[in-house]
Amino acid sequence: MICEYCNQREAEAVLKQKLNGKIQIIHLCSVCANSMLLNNFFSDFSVNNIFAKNLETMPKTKKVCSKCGASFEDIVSSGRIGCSYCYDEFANEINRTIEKVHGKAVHIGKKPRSAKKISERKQLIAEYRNKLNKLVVEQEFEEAALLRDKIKMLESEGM
Amino acid sequence: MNQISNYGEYREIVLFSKIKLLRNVENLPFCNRMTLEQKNVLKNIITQIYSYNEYLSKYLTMIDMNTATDDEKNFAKQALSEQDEVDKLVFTSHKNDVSICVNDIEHLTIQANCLGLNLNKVYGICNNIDDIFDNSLSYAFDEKKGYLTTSPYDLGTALRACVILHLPALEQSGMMQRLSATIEKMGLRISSIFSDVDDNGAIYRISNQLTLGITEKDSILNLDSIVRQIIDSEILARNNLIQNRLQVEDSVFRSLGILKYARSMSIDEFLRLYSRVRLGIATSIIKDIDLDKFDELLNIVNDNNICNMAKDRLSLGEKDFIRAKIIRENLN
Repeated sequence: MICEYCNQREAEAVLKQKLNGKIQIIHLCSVCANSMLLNNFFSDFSVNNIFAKNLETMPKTKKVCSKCGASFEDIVSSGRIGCSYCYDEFANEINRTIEKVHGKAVHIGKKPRSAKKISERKQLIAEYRNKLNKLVVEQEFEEAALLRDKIKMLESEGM
Repeated sequence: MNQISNYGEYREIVLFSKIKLLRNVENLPFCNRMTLEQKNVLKNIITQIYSYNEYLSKYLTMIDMNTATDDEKNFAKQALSEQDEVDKLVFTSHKNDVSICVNDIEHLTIQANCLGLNLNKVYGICNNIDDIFDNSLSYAFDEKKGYLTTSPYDLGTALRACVILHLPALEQSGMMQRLSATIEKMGLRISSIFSDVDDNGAIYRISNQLTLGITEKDSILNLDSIVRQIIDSEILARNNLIQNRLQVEDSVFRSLGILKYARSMSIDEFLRLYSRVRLGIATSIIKDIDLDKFDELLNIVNDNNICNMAKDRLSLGEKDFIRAKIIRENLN
């Protein structure tokens, strides 16, 4: 039997894990066993493995991530994504698995500073656009022209 | 930051509360695909932010796992998720209750814990540290997917919260099976913290599962409120159990006796006895043993730590002898 975690070495140890009241049995090689069993206070090792198994059923692709060089095969075998760019690069392959885990949910939690700026800018552009439409209707063309330039500037910042 | 050592609530039932924030930096591959050079770049960036920040450099000590002494390594290892320590940096408080790991599974793992139940406070500390880094670098982030992580399971808030509970009375009353099913339905996860033992000492970890489509606040609130309900039922069950005082006292002291005098002890036996004695301390049947010190035994006598201390590969029998010796020294 081959180790269910690294899929490389011969399994020597059996790991029993109680999860949600059910006992899960996993066969491990001694190297993986040592790194997991003994330091299992917080590690959630089984999760990556399950993710990889989920991906295995996806259609195979020969694409390679242009940023980090990870192939789809690499991601499946390690259960780990290569870089943030992979999420776009392999969107077709990964997104369905993400949906299986998280449903159709969209992030609503904390945002980093950089993302906050982007969403603030988007909001500002939308506001200006509304104003612009009103100005055009009111035939205030001079002010409208100024506003149009502002919008153009904001949009170019986001490129 | 060091005031965190203040207790949270329900120390007699809650061992500790812990929160982890996972973060990756923009424009660098994730750790599993980083070159040595890239790892060093990240180490330098983080070290700079650390040394220029008064708050971080005052409370946290930097340990470079490539150059640390064995003692430092053993101390810092507790913060790491991977066993492999090469090319990692750990910034840790002297009690190891706050730590930042660099080049672990994710670029940055910010974690904090406290004894007893106090998830809000622990999250506050993690959040502050997160803000410090956010001010100086750009995180890998997507509007819809949230913080981007190595495992898609963590997408969104990339926040992992857990509470470690000692539930001997609920276990004895045979309620755990039903409770586990309920907890699972609430979108949480209950698991044993030890994986290779038959008897888990009635110690359970309850953690959040959901990270996408939920705010940090709700995620923590959700876990906190369910943990409180479990605590309430454990208290009820303990009160029932204690009615049979003589029987409980006998089992508590009998277990303490074995812990104090045995010459060889397997981890299974230790956990079984630990659970009974801990119940005894928590219900004041035993008054002269400090609960914190007693809980520390859990960390000290696990197989991993015993091997680390011995700096050698030990046979099972040898481990059991050393374990018994350490327990005796700590209790007598």
